[in-house]
Amino acid sequence: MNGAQLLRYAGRRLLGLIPVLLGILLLVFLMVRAIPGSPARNILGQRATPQEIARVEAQLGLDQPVLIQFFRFCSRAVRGDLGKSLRHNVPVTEELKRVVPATIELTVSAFLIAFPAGVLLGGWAALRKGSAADLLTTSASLAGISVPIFWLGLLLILIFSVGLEWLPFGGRTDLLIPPVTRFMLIDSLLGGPPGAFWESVKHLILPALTLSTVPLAIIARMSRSCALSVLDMDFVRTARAKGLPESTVLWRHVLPNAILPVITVAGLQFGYLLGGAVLTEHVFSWPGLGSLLLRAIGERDYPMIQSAVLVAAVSFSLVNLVVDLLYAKLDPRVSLEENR
Amino acid sequence: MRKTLTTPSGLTGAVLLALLLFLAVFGPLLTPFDFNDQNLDRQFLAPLSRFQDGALHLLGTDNLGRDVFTRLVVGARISFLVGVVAVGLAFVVGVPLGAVAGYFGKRVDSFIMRGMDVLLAFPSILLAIAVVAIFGANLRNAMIAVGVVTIPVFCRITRASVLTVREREYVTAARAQGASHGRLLFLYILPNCLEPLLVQASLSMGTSVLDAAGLSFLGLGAKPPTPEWGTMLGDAFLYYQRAPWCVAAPGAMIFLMVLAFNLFGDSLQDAFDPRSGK
Repeated sequence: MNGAQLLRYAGRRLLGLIPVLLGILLLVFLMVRAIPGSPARNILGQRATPQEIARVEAQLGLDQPVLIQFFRFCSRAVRGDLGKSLRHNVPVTEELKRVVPATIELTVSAFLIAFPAGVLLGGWAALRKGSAADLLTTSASLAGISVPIFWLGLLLILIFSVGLEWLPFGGRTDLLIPPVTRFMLIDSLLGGPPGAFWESVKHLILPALTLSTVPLAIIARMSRSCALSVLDMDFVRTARAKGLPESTVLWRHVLPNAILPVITVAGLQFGYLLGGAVLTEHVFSWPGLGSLLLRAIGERDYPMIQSAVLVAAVSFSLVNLVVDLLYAKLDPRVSLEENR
Repeated sequence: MRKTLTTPSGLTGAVLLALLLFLAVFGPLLTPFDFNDQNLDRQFLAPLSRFQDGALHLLGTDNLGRDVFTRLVVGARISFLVGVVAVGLAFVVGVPLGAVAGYFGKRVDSFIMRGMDVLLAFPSILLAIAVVAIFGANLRNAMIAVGVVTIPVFCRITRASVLTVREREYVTAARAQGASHGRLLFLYILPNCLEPLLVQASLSMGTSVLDAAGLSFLGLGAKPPTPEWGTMLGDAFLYYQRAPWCVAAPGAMIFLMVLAFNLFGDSLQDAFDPRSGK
């Protein structure tokens, strides 16, 4: 597919995303309006005075007609103004800027473990279909899908932190590292004391491993099933019949054809990673978006809750868009079908 | 169904589910303790230990001296209930919506499916957390929240099946005989869309139990002293170094139940659609 075609396809996909983004905004907007009773009284408690209630209602924009509230909410959100925290009186975006890098660092690390390991494990099992290794891999991946990650995280802490004392079990680092990008791995290289990078890596290992378990298992299952269907195809038989070395058959013919559906499934796992990050961050005291959300729920800080959910949903939609484009780039049939 | 039980994984899943169901129904009869019997003298007894009165605590006791095994078996009832309610809600709402979208097509389809796209744009556990945050953190709302996030899955599957089945000749014949839309949809089309829905119901039971346990672990579902497995794990999180068995036992139960539903659902899928067999 040439650049112009891909651009047209991207434009169509972006247009298709607009109603979904509007729907996300509407749902997040309705969240506060759905609170049983008066949201302001809910936030302030039963002893709040009418003046205090009026102040909070004005702060939440609840004193305006609903349609105007929604348009204001959308126009502010599009400009990146998500309001102020009700409890800490700071702009929500400031709080988000502080915590989002921690969640990105965790989810990206988990993905970087899950994707290659899942593809390799699934491919390896497919090549040994029916063997003990295949049975072990399929059983392990089914177990991986079924495991509660918050429990797995606690078990890993008990084994590797409490028992063996190999790895730390909470936070992003024990050292004082000046925040530059707020990505700890990068900041530790930029301005941290000697050994700060390794310290940050050690803090990241257990949470990233925990969070990667389910996506790894799903990607492994998908890779195995895709590889098996491609291995059965005529062109693979032809390639082997031509006498090509097995490694060439696998890397040049099987992998490119089997990887496409795996990429879609892997993209969908990003949504799981964002959700799973809430649980993982709670277990490992990781100061990210999930921890912020849980704190906001405890404090009934509704603008903060709305913003955390909004950021997660919009990021998930954008990642799906990127995956769609990647898919179209790798498989020309996708966009050709749409062009007809 | 018989075919499902002949595969090793289907049989393992069914046996595990039967065992868990037995525990849920008869478990409280197997133990002399009440799930909420507190006794600080019995605090943090290790598994298989006996108290001075000779009573055996199979899986030990927790920080309040409550018998962990007794709490687990009562928790099994709650987990089954969570699965049934959440999947039931998703089924009751998602299936008719998907059926209507697939049957009528055009604008009705676009409207319903764009709504589902919006729901699917939220990571499921995050949406469930948001629902609970708004309506209040308790077991009932957690079950509803988990059900709500499962609706799009059932809706999509039903729509896809209806799109295929509605083109079959027997449906055209019924239509030609003057059958109404409702009759066509609910008597002729939907009964033939049940297979993938049954598979999904089994798989969704597992994810619902997992999600609801996750919510309770975060303090957003069942509240103590309810012996819900996620709540028990959340409590044990506070003293996991002192009593690791209080962490291990409820987590293992969640794992076994989800594994059982997944094994069963997978085998059901293979039985209905042999091409999906790996």
